Parts: sequence; structure tokens; C-alpha cells
Amino acid sequence: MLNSTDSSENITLYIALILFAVIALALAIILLFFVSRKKIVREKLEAQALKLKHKSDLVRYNIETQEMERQRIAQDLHDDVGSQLNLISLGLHRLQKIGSAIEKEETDAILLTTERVIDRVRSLSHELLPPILEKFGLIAALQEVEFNYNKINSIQLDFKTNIDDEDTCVDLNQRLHLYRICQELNQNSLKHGKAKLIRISLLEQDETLLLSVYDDGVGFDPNKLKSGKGMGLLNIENRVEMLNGTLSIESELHEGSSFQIRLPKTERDERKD
Amino acid sequence: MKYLMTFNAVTLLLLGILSILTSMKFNKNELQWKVIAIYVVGSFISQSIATILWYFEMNNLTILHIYSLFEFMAFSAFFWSATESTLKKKWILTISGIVSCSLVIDSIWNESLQDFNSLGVFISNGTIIFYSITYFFELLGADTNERKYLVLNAGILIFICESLVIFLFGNFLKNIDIIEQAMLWYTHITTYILFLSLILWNYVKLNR
Repeated sequence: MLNSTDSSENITLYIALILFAVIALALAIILLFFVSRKKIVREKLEAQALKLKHKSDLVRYNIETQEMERQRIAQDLHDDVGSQLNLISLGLHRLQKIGSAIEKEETDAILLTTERVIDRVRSLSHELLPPILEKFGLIAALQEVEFNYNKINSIQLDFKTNIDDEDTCVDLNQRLHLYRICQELNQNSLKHGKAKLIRISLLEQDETLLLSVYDDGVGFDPNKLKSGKGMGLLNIENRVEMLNGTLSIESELHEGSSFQIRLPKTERDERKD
Repeated sequence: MKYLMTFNAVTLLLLGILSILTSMKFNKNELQWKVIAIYVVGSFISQSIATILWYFEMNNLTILHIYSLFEFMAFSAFFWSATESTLKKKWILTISGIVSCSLVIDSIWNESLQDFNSLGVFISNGTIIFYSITYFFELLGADTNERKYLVLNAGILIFICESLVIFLFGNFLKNIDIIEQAMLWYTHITTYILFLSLILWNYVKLNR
């Protein structure tokens, strides 16, 4: 038989044990929460990173496919359609010499149309893949753009650069993307901005490469870009992302717009390799 | 007993500070903090009355019956307002309604108002523990700004778990040695101080 003191001690001991067991259980639940949460957050971050990588890969693949397709069409136009049109043109020249007066007149008209088509095909082929970009590089290609734009009297395009040898700082892939970005921005300036002046600069600054495109057009509200971007701007963003660069846009209504693309130093070092 | 009185004074002081802090910005605070404000003010009043009755060696257990119901309703309201899920809100409302009615019936017909309402405490605290654990589950995948009441919830879980055991065996405690009894009450008050400190910390952290 237990006396009353022993019984009291036992009750206290049991209650104390149950009390500490319950508190320990509560603490274990809290600890489990933090451990599980850490795991869930890590998994969430991994899924997010994977999603971003997938998106980036998709964009890269799209742009690469687009470029390959452009190259193929440009080559087909130049080598196949262009050469066959040249053959037709030669044939027409021969016909012109041996035919009667009426036939000569008819041939003249067809020859004229054929030559126009040849010019158009050549120009389309060059637009798709400018041969100057491949042969002489980005600076020469942009100088050609400057020359062509300035032929149109109402538009003035200024291009300046401080790069002497682009081979040391821009690789072939980068050249093509930067050229495409300029093409897109120039088109936007003319089509939407109604610009009269476009200034392009390609500068080597310390260890970064800076491409700026400014126009004096009608500008736009940059806040509206948050709600929805056009395909052109999305394309530019994707190309900048592919180059691991940064894009900053400054614009105000009726104050023109300015786009700056900056490529980091590390990328440039890789390019040199 | 002198030390127990000092511990009790600390809880009253903390409840007083919390009552002032949470009531000061009552209208500006979110619903969750309004509920906590009502809870701390109610606790401060009932704790003060219970202390006075205890000081004059009068039975203060009738207060516990009312306080248990009040505490249960306050925590239920807190979890109801804190949860994002409409479905969970509905079943919190249903369960809380049933448990509240059971507590009233239990206190009036089943238990003596001069004793601990062990069954009532077990049901009400058990339900709060259930709410608290399900709220932890809800917070598992939540963003940082949705985890505003994480510390508070942890405090509720620890304190209610401890209270469940102490009050469930409350009637046994009355029969044991006074020193051993005091040891267990020290544990209870320490947990309560920890819980109030966690509320204070959570409140200051959010309103900094």
C-alpha cells in the first residue's frame, strides 16, 4: 500500500511527465513545420529555376531557329531564285537581239519587270542576312544602315563608335543579335515613333559594351509596357537575355525614346576566348 | 507562494502592456490583431479578478469556466480570421459553435463551478490545438508576407498544449502536496509568460 505522500509524489511525477511530453510534442510539431517548410521552399525554388531555364531555352531555340530559317531563305533567294532570274534575264537579252520589232518591244517590258524582280530578290536576301555583316562585321553593317537611311531625305541616322577592332570585343553571334536589335529599334522609331532623327552608338566603356539607340519620335509611357509588350520588344528582350546583357528603356510622351543595351565584362571575356 | 505572486505580477504586467499596445491602434489593426486585442484585454481583466480572489483565499475557479469559453472563442475567431481558405472558415465556424455550446452545457449541468472544468478544457483546448496544427499546414506553402502570425501560432500551440495537461489534471493537483503543486503552476505561468512574450514580439515585429 502506498501512503498519501507517495501517492502525491507519483501523481506529480506522472503529470510532470505528461506535461513535458506534450510540450515536447508541440515543439516537435513546430520543428517539423520549419524543416518541411525549408524543403518545400527549396523545391519551389528549384521548380522556379527549372521553369525559367526552360523558358530561356525555348526563347533561345526560337531565336536560333528564326535566324537559321532567315539564313536558309536568304541563301535560297540569292543562290536559287536569284540565279534562275538571272538566267531568264540573259535569255530575254538574247531574244531581244534576235527577235522582230514587236517581239523586241514585248521582251523589253518583260526584261524590265525581271530586272525589278531581281533587284527586289537581292534586296530581300540582303535584308534577311546582310552579307556585309558576315564579311565586314557589325560596325560596317551599321555604317551601311546609316548610309541607306540617310538616302531617305526626311530621316537622319547618326552612327558613332569608339571601337577600332570589333574582333576583340564582339563575336559573330553577338554581332548578329546586336544588328537585329538595331534593325527592330529603327523600324519601331519609324513606324510607331515617327522619328526624324535616330542616333545609334556602339561604345566600349571600361569593361562593358554599350549599344544605345535614341530617337526623337513621339515616345511612349514606359509604365504601359508593364501591361503588355509588343512582339518586337519581346524579341529584343529575349536577344538581350541570350547575350546575358541588360536592357534599359527611357521614354516620355513627345520626348523621344532611348534604349540602352549593356553587355557585362564576363561575357566579353568569354567572347574573346 | 511569494515567487508565484511575482510570476503572476509579471503576467499581469505583460497583459497590461499588450492591452495598451494592441488597443492603441485598434481601428487601424487587421482583424486578427483586433481579436488578439480583445483576448489580451479580456485575459487581463479575468486574470486580475482571479488574482484578487486568490489573494483573499476565495475560490476563483468559476472565473476559469467563463475564461475557458472566452479563450476558446477568441482563439477560434483568430484562426477563422487568419485562414485564407473559405472552406476552413466554414468548418471553424461550425466546430466552434458546437464546442462553445458544449462548454456552456458542460459548465452548467455537468461540472461543478467550484472545480476545474477538465472535460471542457480538454475539448476546447484540443480543438484549438487542431486549429493551430492545420494552420501550420496552411502556412507550409505560403509566402513570407502570409506568414505574419507564424510566431503567434507557435506560441498558441505551446501554451494551449501545456494548459490542456495542467487543467485536465487540475482536480488532481488540488489533492497533492502544495510545493509540488506550486512547481507545476510555475511551469504553467512560465509557459504563459513565454506565450505573451511571443505575442508581444510578433506585434512589435509587424508594427515596427
